[in-house]
Amino acid sequence: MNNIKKTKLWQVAFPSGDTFEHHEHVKYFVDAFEKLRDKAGILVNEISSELPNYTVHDISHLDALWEVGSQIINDEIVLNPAEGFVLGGAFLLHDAAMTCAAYPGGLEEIKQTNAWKKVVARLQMDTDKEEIDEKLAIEIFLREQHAIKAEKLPFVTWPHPTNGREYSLIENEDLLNKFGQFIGQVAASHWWGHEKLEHEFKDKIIPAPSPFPSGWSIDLLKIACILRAADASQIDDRRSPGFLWALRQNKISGLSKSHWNFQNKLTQAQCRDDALYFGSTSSFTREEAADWWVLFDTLTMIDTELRGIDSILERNRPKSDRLKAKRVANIENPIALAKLIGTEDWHPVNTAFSISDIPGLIEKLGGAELYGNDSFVAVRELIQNAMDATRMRKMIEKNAQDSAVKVELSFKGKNPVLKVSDMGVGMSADEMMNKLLSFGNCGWLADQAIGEYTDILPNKDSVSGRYGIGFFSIFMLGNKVKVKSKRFDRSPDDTVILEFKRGLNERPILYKAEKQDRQTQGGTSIEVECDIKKLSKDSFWKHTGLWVDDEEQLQDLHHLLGSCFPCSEIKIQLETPYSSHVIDGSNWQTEPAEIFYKRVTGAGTFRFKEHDLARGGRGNIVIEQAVKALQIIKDIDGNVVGRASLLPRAFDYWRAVSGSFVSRGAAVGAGNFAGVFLGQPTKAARDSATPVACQTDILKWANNQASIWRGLLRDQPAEQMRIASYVSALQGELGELKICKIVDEFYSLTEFAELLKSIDGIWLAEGYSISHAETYLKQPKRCANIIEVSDDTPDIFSKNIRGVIG
Amino acid sequence: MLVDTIKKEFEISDEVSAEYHLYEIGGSKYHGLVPAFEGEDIEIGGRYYNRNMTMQDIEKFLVKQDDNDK
Repeated sequence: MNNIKKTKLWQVAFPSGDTFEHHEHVKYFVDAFEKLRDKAGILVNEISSELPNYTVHDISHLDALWEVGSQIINDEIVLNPAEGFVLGGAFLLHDAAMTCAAYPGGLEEIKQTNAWKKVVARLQMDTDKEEIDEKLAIEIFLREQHAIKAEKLPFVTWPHPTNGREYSLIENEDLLNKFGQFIGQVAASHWWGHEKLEHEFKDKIIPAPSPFPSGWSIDLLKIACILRAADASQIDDRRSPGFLWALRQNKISGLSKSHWNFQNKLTQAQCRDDALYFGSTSSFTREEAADWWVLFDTLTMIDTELRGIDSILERNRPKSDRLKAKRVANIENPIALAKLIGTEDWHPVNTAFSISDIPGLIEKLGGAELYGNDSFVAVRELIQNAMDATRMRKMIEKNAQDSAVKVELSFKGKNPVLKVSDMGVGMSADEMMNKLLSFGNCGWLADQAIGEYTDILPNKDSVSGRYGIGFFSIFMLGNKVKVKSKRFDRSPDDTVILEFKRGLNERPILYKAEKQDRQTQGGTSIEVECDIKKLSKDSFWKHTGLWVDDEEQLQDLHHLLGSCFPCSEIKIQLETPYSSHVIDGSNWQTEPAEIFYKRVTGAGTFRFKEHDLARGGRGNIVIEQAVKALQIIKDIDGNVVGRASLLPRAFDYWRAVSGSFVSRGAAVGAGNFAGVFLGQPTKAARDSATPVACQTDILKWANNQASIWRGLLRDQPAEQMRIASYVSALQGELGELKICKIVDEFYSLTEFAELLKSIDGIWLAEGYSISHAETYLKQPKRCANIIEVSDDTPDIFSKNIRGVIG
Repeated sequence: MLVDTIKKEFEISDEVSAEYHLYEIGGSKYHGLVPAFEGEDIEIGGRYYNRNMTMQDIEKFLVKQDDNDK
């Protein structure tokens, strides 16, 4: 304690001497701080028992913050004793909740929280196992929740086990009531992003509570910045004392080991001019190279933190409040840092995996390389993202209005302009950069991303976008992209626009929307000016012509969206220059079978009718039969997991008609059936899936299909054979379905077995070869005992989704 | 399903059936040619089964895929 009283930061905050005008108030704060420090010291001592991997988080770290803080503050800084008390309290409490002891009910209390349930669900999702590693779950929970808990910590009470006495960290009730919430808020803020820090604290200069001098206002932003900078920069050997490391070495592994090693070697940070200098007591050997690189990354993080803090203070406070430390010295490259923190017999050349053409790689991975030459997937991805945002809004705000995703297609000259808008959760500027533009990082499922909004856990079934790459598919359509968004809980002033003028070849620009562009409602709109030259190389475009400014060409667009989103509970409102449509998949379980069938398969399209007409209208006859065969498929708990029928071979000529696997309302795979099965996507491209229905559900459905189709195809034995091959592939009961043809007779399984009893030998011949031979023989007469067999086993559940179209 | 029924009704042993339906690189090990049409000199790909089929029957009616390739 005496050491911290000698620091510059302490002496600025708590002027000493009886001659100081308000020395009694100063003493009041100092006494209260000392008592708080005693209690907090006991609490933080518990951290090491649950998180032995972590470097020192005990009172020595908290005391050291005063020294590091003294290095980083400006000589002109003014801190009054009230601010000193809040800062000191935040020093003591910022990490104090990294132990179960911070929860009076211990682990049992933790297990009741939604945050714990979310951690458990995430671990189960990651490992696909019910059972979780509880120690790991505790570590994740404490790390993720410690800052949130820190805000409440001043008001937590711990009951004595026997005498019932209640303990709290700040025993002085007057100080607790007047300063407790500010200490909690500043402590919690050390874990916030810079944008939130500025947004929350830029106007928070709290006038002094009585009876303290009126000039002792408390500037939360200034205090929070000192805490952050000091906490980030305190990485010397006090965090990793050699003896403690020796004692704990068997418990420390992996990345933690690197942290222990490099911090053990580090000297205290020292500020010269505007830079913070770090040094080491010994060089890093080749065996310690990995530790040196972890140090390099850590110092880079500190540098980013200091620069970020300086930028916030520069915008919002006078020069005297800015910190002296604005950067880390020699961090611009590894060689420069090695001059301060030496390496022995090796040179820290940055040999990390590097990509010279990142935009090119993203364009490839997020575009044609992933999705194939089919630009419509980009439209699908945009709509799915919009639906996810809408669902998330509904999850957070139970009373939020049901809103549709709006898809608008207009034309700028010959170039189509596509705009997809939603009234979902929306994004702030930070979220645009960290979620939308973070390739491969799924914003919604990332750690804590949704925690800002709600305690409800979004699991992998809650959203479609699991892979965090969908947005980048937009560049398959064109290079001019404009994203406008406003988070639902922000004001219209916070509407932001992200604009790509030349795709990924040039950095996008991010700016606040002008007055006329501001949104009053939360949500996002994404507009892309499609590049007609790009689209003309695309197989989808060539087949459908859906991007041409022509009424006839565009009339199938709503059917196409209907088949892409067969079961979506969120409506799609489609506007083209010629028509408006609402696509609604919410009633897929109950809507009339024919409407459902045509909507989800694309059999209602102009192109289907045209194609079918050219083949004598056979398709419509089969549709009638398929509609009759449609069945609701339920799982063992009675949940609907599909609505589908099998299809006879005669229908395969029209590739537009195939069944879909559906996840979160959207088609994510296709198969050789009619209708839909709920499914789970198996690839990032979301073009293949596995059914949610289990083997038993599917078997039951296959048996029913055998019986239904036997009735429907009574006079069409050849087509019964196709159904039979599907049912057989699903290991269902064939019943009286015809399964083979011998000469001119069709046989069911029972009839075939009966036939075999009367003969001694039989040939199985490839059906295709027989048919082929018959086409050029004048009067073909098949030999007896030859059975035509199909050359392959039909696969009902695997068909690439791109086969759905054209 | 056809083969299962044939195997059952013609009482073909598991051992023979396993050898007969053995898949090797490039396709099934044994291959046959079927005289499919009466009065035509045409044979097409297929398989032969007879009651109580033995390994000798396989050799008699069918050729190994690699022999066929020669």
